[in-house]
Amino acid sequence: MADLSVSELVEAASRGDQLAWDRLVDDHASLVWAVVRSHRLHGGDAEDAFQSTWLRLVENLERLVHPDRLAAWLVTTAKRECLRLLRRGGTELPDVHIADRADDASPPAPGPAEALLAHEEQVEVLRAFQRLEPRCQDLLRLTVAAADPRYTEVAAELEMPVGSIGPTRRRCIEHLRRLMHDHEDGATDDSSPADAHRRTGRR
Amino acid sequence: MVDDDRLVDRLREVIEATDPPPQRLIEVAKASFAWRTVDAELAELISDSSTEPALAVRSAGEAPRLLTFTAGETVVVLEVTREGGAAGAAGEHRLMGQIVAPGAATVEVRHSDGVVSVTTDADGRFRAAPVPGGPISVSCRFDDSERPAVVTSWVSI
Repeated sequence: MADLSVSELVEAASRGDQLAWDRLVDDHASLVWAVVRSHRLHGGDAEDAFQSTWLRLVENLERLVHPDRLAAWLVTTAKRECLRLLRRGGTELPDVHIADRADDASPPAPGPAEALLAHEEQVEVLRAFQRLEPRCQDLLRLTVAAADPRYTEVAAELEMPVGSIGPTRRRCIEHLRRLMHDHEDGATDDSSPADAHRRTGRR
Repeated sequence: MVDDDRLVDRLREVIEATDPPPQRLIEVAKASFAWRTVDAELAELISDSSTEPALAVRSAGEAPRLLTFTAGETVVVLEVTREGGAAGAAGEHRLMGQIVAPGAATVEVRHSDGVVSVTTDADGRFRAAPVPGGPISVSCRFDDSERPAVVTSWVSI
């Protein structure tokens, strides 16, 4: 089981192999979750979108045209499920093209999330990420998960304008890096005590 | 660029550690494999009244939601009504359905907590209640064994 390719797992699952299915879920759950989160779905809606995506896969297992590109199929399907829920709820769609509003993002207080991270560097990345504007957080959540080396060619499947996702993503990453640097230099107006993460960053 | 890749890898670790998919949902996803249906035709959703703007406005009250699925010659229409008004407890739903062309069948409403099994009348009509909110799918097995079974695509109610 360990060395089966994705298409072999899909094939085994479509023959009724529960273990192969479990493996597919384990390997792709983070990716699907990242898509759901990048649409700012929470609570029941997030669960609904996540669950529906897997049910959609159950009903289409035998019909996948490119089983080797399952990750891309899941991204596309999860996005569609999210949009369906957002449309039904009459919720405003997150707009990935609005102007940067970095200054609106207030530095969050060190939270329990930091306690989950083992390394100082990760804590710094988290703190900078949380200070990014929501638009950048959404975009990075999605592209970072999709850029996982385990999933080939997923990025190409993202239904975002090719001309804009590249530069926008790069701008978000640069911004993230800048926030990290600001923090290192102490040149930030971050009101949290500089050593807060040292106390909360370790168990 | 190499630096970017490294930062992206760090960020992925951070997001996976701080906002992972809940284990409970992963278990539900694994369990959903039990809904695999190999011996039935898939009926795709072709219309949903809740996504039609004009109707959505008019149904601001509690008008039933109409869902239509088709597979080959068979049409399955579902009418979903939320029980107990808008603020009802965690969304119990009443489900009425009609199969066209009509035929006597055993209908299973599959939902997040299990299955409700009912039979249709001779005109292919059926009703089921209560059904919890969340994804549902309806399978129809006809008394006429020549007629292929049909299962609807999953839809959230």
